[in-house]
Amino acid sequence: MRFITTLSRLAVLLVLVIIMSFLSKSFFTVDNLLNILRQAAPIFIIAAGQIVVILARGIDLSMDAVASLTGVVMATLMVDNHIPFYLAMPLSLGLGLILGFVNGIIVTKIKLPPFVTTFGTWLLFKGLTVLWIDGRVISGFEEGFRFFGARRVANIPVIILIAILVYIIFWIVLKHTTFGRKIYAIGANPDASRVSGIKIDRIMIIAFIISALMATFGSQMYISRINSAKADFGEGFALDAIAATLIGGTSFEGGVGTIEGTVIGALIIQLLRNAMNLLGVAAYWQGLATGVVIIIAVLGDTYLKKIAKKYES
Amino acid sequence: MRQSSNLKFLRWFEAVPSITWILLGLIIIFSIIAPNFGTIDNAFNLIRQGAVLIIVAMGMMMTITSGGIDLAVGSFIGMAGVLTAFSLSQGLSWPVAILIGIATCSLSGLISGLIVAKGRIFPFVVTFGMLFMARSVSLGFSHGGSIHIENANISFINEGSLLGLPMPFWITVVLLLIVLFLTKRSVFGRYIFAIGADPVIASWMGIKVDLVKVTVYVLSGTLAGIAGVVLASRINTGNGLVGQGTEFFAIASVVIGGTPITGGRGSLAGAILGALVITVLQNGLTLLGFSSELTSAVVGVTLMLGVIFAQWVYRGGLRGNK
Repeated sequence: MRFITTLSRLAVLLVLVIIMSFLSKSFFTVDNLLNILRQAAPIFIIAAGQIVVILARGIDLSMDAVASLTGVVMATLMVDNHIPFYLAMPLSLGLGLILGFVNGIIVTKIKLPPFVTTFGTWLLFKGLTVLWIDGRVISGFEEGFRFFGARRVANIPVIILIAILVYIIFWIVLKHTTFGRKIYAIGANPDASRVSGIKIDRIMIIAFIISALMATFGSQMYISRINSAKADFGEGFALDAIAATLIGGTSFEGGVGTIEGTVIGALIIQLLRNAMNLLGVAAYWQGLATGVVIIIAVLGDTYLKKIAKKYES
Repeated sequence: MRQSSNLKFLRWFEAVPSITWILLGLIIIFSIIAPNFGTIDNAFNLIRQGAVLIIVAMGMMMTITSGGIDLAVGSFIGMAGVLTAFSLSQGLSWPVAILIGIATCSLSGLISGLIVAKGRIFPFVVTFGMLFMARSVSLGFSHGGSIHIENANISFINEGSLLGLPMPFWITVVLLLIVLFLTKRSVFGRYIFAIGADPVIASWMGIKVDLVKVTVYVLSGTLAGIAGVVLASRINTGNGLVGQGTEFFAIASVVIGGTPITGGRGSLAGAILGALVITVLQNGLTLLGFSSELTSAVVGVTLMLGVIFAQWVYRGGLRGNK
């Protein structure tokens, strides 16, 4: 079933690519395709964190605020305090870890629903971001930091290679480690996992830490690509990340979903955006396409599940 | 003797939604420390500011009680405002313009409801998709900006007053009476609770679960549309971005009001009081000179504390944990 889901997403992606190749001559060029991948990379990195939480029946709405806060803290450290990027990046990842830990503790120990918790911390972190830099726009980063987002290795943008690396790591972690299997188990059946001795609280806290770390890392890559940071630059990251996981076949019931689906989901979102650009449709209408794709993807899954059940019986 | 008076106090304490105490506390604190908080002018301001959230929270209370959720309401607010302003700019008369704004939201609610009920898809996912679509429609019609409204009748919705009280107050009261009747006095209200508690048993009882679900989403969309028109009249513009995030504040109002996010139980009074807590906080902190982001941060922390308080009371409160 999981295979069919991924395959159907791949088919949708392929059909979109074929249609676009016919509609616009500039679409199927190496430059444009690399451009799509480059723009999809930060969303994918962030979505990779989101899927871990969603698989365990949680959700992390605070990702945009985590991205903004850790991003501007890193930016001010580098530009104002002249701390080199190889120190500033781990420092902001450390901050991300703390923010994720806060989310995890509130969800597991105080037992607030993840939805309410991460909405509350979203507001809180957003406030802290503005306290940190007000309305400033920070730019002018050192060359070393720009390497991630703006440079190429063997003519492939570095940010794409990083996204691929993230994919490989998450694929291994989710599929081939006990931690990954526990995440799926908790999502599929929390009661059974508790009875079988899985420390649910600890796994959930780690899941929230992972999502916050990926929000931080994604924002670092994004800042490196656009070469500036301001208080609200992370806005929309969390929703895009959730959309990517949903289009990729992840279920809110928990326990169902794959990292490869999420990659394809992020690609589909970015491809739609690119397609509308090339076709001269105003960017405002892109949300309509995203919304329709989300609903069709999920409706399609329910239909596929029915067919799969018929074959099994 | 002493024990019975204790018990009386406990019963009285539990009969009132727990959020009331937070609201009262906030009002007392702000009256003391915030200049101009306790004035009539500011009270009218509070009503105008709070009307939008209260109206949306009433719809959200019904969706959450029925076991669903509607994430699209924030985008509906913007969509209703933009479509009303757009229709006016096309030379349509104001009642028609308002009708177009609100009816589009009702229709979108109908679509959400049909997909939730017939497609058997998580409401969270469906309305999440609808959020994107509605926002995109309003951005498309307003070209990403705002459409100015110049119409005395539309402005009257916000500025006008009746019997000395602002119009948004009366609009909220009329809607409240309707929702109160629906949830407390009609069969439909009982059905909402029933399908939220257990949809399977509800369908065994002969309740048309799908019909009830669809109706709930239509009502939620319609209420959000009305809230959108009220907001558009306050700012005199149709802007696709204004309502963004209201869905989360509405959910928070409902949850701190004592309705569990899993549905099956619900408190309309709690939802309205929850919306008032958020409005009073925003208003009071702004009067104290807090920036809007700092205000949001304080609201965020208060929301979490409010939900913790609501859960504590639900688990037994002063009687100790069950």
